[in-house]
Amino acid sequence: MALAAATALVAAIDTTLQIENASPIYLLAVTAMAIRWGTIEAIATAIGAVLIYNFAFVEPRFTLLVGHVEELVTLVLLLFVGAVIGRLTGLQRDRERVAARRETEARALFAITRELATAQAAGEALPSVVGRLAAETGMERVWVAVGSNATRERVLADTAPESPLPALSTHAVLRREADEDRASWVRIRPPEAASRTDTRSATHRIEVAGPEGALGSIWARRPSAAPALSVEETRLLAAAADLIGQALTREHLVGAAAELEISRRSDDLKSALLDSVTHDLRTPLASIRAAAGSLADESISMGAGERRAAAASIDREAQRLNRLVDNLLDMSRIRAGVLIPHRELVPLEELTDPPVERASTRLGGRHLAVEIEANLPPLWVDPVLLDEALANLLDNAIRHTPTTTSIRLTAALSPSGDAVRITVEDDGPGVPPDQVGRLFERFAPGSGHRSGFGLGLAVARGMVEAMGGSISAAESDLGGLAISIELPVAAPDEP
Amino acid sequence: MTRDSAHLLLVEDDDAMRGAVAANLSGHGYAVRQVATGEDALQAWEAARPDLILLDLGLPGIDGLAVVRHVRRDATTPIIILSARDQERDKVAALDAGADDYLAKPFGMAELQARVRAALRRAVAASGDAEGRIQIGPLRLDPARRLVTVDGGVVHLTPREYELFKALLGHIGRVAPAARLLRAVWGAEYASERHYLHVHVGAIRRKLDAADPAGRLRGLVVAEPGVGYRVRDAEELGLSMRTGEP
Repeated sequence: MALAAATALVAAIDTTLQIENASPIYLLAVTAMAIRWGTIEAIATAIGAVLIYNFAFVEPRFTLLVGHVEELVTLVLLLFVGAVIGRLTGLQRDRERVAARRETEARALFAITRELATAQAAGEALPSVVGRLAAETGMERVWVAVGSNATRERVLADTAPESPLPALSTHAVLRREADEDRASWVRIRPPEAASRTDTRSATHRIEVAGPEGALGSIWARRPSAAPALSVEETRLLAAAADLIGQALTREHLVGAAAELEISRRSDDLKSALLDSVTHDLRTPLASIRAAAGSLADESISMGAGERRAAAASIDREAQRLNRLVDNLLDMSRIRAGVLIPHRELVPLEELTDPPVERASTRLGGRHLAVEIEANLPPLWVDPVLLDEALANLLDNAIRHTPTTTSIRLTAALSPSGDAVRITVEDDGPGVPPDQVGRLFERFAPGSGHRSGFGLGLAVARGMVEAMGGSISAAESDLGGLAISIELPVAAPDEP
Repeated sequence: MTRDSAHLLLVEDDDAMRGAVAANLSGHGYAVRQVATGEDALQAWEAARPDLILLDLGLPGIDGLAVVRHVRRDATTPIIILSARDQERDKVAALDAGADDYLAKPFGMAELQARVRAALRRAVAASGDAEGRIQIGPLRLDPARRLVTVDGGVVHLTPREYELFKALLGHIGRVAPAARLLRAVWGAEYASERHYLHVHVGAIRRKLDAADPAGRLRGLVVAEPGVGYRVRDAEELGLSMRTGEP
């Protein structure tokens, strides 16, 4: 193209201006080629220019013969100068291109480093890291997986998470050298590979390693039509693998330290819980044995009324024990993380009626009022768990107040409109303000406790939180304690 | 048959528990036969055909669920499940297989007596009169006219609400498992769509409340969280018991 333009220009100058030697015009074409394409193209243009000039403008025209010595010198000079200009310009251009690529690579690396360093957990940063890697290296898909073995990995992040991962087949693995620029891709075919190899695209794997060996891999696929990975792209992938390896290692160390702390605290908690539970279990057992002992004692003459009272006290204390055992079971399920809510859409009165009805039989003189706002949306909850939670709140209100207390259960839409707030409150003695915040963690080491107090509320909290709700305690307008549960209502698009 | 002479079969493998429950039931005038295994339960069932079965689910050998299925092949004899807390799933399965009611251990003797009485009343009264009409206090359901009235005033139910209410009243004095109601009213493919039930039961409750300002029917249908609904009979609601009028 440049050659044709230059030839036309030379022809024009040659015919119109009658300038003896217009060959330097070709140097323009050579320079243009060098700037646009590179050294080799520029030298090729110079050779082409010499041939065309010789053929078209040097006498005898339309042959490659050279008539005069001056003409020969001109041709040699044209070739030499063209080659030198081409080489110099091209070198400059190549340097710029490399610099630009390095800058891109450095920018990408910097971004990845920052993402991994600022994220709370490596897992949070990885989705944007794989996205960036895919964009920078021209991959159609990049994913990061962890596992010591390429055949048994767990995917942490994937640019196409919804499509299934390709079966393990022949892929290129980066063999890394001390000198990063000499890293090379080696094709391997794993023994576990599916028999049919995927020819549509090429899969690359870069091992992610920590100080103690392989942690996982970065996998990258690109269309097989795409050119082979450049040195810079390879280097970027290798550097990303190092960064991810460091992030995962750091996280592992942090996790191990946290686990140690949790297990230490959990031991403290267990002994506090055990002390308290032992006490709570023994108290009703002592009452039961005392009452049963009196009933069985032949030397005690009891009236029918006294016998009934003793039996009723056995029954009541047994119920108390049963409630405690239920709560202990629930607590262990909550702590073990096996409390999986089975949520459904349930109208509020269906949720409040059963526990209110059961509590009504145990009020013993207390007054229980239920006020539910009209037209509340249904809740998206596990009815069994909420039933337990509400039963615990009502039980708590009944057990820790005098028999003249008024208890109130209210339900209303939260101000934000996306949750329903259920409050159980009373006009009883309440709880000192400095204790309110600790009601749900009564078994925290060092905190004193009243008998039976806390486990029920801790269970209520565990269940409410398992359903994505929250629980809080405050002073009630009635004067006593108010405990509120906030639970999500159904999303508008739910049926 | 008088209530006090009813024959009960008590199936429970724990000796102390079985002895205590049997003593209480005998004390109330029931004739109680006690067995400890599923095999003995089936044998006793075939030999004597009791009026009511109290069945522990966690039995050695043939389990409680299998006993329910066996009995339900040819009889509607009331079955009350005695379940422990760790048998929640079995309990629902037993109800779905045809058991009438359940009591979670540990239960009070007063509760046990109330459930036994309700189940025996149901067995005697069956459901409704010769034309299938059901009456509970002021409430009456007339299947021939697809009509529900309270004190003679019509309660306007949608066709779906009517079907559901009728299915619920087929479980008077018992527990109606959610899956069974859904299958009966909406079809088998809806057996897990519990929110349909919640919504329609809520609508029926509101209409009954509006028709019965005195609140006599409040508590007729109560939720049993995670299981279904309990439908009380007139006596449990504290209403005079009548089973239909001519």
